[in-house]
Amino acid sequence: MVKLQSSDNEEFEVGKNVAVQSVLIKNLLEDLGESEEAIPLPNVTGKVLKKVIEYCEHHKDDPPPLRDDYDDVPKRSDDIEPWDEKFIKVDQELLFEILLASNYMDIKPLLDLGCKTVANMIRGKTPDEIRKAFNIVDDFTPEEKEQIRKENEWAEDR
Amino acid sequence: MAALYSMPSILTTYDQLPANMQSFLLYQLLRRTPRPILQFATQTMLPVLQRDFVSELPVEVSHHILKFMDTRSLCRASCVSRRWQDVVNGDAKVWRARLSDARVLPPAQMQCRRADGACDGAGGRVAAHGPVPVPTNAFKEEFARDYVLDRNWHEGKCRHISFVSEGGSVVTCVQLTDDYIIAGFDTKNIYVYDITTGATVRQLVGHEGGVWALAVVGNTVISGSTDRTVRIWDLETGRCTHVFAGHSSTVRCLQVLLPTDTRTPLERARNEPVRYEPSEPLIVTGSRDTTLRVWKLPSPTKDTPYVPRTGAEMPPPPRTNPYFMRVLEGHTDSVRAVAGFGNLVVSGSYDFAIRVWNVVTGQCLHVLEGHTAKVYTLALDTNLHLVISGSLDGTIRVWDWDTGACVRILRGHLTLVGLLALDHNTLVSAGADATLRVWDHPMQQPMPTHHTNAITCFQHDGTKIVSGADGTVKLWDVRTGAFVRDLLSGLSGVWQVRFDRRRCVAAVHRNDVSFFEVMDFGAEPEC
Repeated sequence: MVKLQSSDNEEFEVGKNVAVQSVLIKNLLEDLGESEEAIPLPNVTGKVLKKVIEYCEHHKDDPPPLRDDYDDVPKRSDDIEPWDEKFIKVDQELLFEILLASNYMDIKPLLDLGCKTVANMIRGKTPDEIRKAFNIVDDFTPEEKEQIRKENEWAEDR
Repeated sequence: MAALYSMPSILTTYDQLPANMQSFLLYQLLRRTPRPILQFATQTMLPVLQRDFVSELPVEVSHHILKFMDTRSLCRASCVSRRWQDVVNGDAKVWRARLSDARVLPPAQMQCRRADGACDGAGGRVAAHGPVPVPTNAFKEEFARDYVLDRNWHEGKCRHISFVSEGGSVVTCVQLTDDYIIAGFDTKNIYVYDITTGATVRQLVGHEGGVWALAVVGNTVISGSTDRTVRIWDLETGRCTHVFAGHSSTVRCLQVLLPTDTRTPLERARNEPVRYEPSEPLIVTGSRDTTLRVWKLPSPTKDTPYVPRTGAEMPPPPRTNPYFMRVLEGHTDSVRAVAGFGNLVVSGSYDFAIRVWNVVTGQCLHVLEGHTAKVYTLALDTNLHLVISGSLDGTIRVWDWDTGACVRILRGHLTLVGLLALDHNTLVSAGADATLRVWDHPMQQPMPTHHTNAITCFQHDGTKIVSGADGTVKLWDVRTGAFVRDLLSGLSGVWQVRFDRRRCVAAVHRNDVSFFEVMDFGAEPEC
């Protein structure tokens, strides 16, 4: 078992196969060896860590993710499994925190899941609808807005 | 009224509660709240919980989100705010990755294609039309150009010109350059047309028989004919500068060998020294006389012309021709196909065999035997050192050119496999059985087959196939195997199709007249 400690000092005890899905923890365990001491995760609150652990518990038997040589190329976002979809159905605040945590803890499949979810929230929306969805202020001048609309016109259906 | 006065104390009490009690109290309050007020509560709460992901996340995470978005969404995202615009357009990587993916090239190869300028020049000039995107990001601009181009191909949006073939009615070969269409005919003609206007620019006059093999390298045109000669022409002037005699029958196929880095990907990865072969540009010609001949490729402008006075009836002895290098003998019937890479030349013959040669030594390295009928076509996989051959026996065979072993037989075609092309690891074959087949890399299973009428010609570039069958020119998507559209229909025959990124040229037969059809997908269609 591995002990993890959140930024607000909540302690979690999880199986090693759960914990090592985080490459950060995996490397720590390899470098420092296993110990009774809890591993501190100063960037992750207990609430978020609990959620992250729930994900890792469910996926503990998954094969390790393949090293992706073409990591930069565009990917599909419509391939989210039902359990994952339900899991990630959270408010934007928590989704944001999960993204930060999965990035910090280096859990690639969870980071992918979060990013896909955000991408799906953006998909098919007009710029106005996107602003509304994420509470963003339009800070373009009317001239800039017209200019940038023209620049991107090519991608719209004609 | 009393309730109003007690409000401050309610709030104070709430503020002092521990978090879990606050939750409990709120829950109790919400339970008692009617719907309209709940709606109000939601409207108040949601914006507070909203996060501007793309702006607030570390930029590498924001870029990761962008990877999961389609192109249109990505463009719209860049219109959201200054920060979003910066995240989407500010980093070359976002669009570079998309560009290389769209061109089915792994990023590294992409770089190299761009660096050596080998990337088709034709695609580069599309920006002159329509709304020109301001170059906020060169990769995005380039991607936009490709994107619009691909969409035009898919939707059939093009500027289409059609002109009567002046050079003859049977078009045997077609080559494209940025500016010209070069066509050979079964008469003795080679014509050069302006690809934009269709005007006849030049006639290459000299052959005394039908032209059956044609290649273009820069401004040099190389042709082979039933008159048994090989001729070299200056494309810019139309002058024939070199005539090579020696074959005793029709020159049926030819291959230009330009010095190439012949290292395998593995050798490249190991940083082994660059190996350019052959040491100078060569031509290899295959003939009905059963031989292949190897010639130095002359430059029409720099090298001394070599036009022996003797006619085709009296070929001069080859040894007086300074460009003649050697004859490759061994086949016992017509040589129908030739392919080459570096110092290696592969020939396919009506004697059912394929021979692998070293052009420098003239040695026949392997005789690949196994086909049970004439060999019509060849393709090379230069990375895996494979020869792929198509035969009248209906099979495609894959051979290891280092060992000479047949490593695989691809079955499926019912009769003649007359056309093969390998591009970006995708093998496409077409045959007299009216099917076009897309094979994932030669070692794998074929994708579903597609039926058209008997296929006379096709070309593919790893993303699309253009095929010519009896009455139509069709466009297919290589990656999905799906039929996209008829580019042309209502024809009585298709002689040849060629395309580059932007244009598709088809030599067709309609109402007993031959036409050239030029579809420019980079031009704004005329309304």
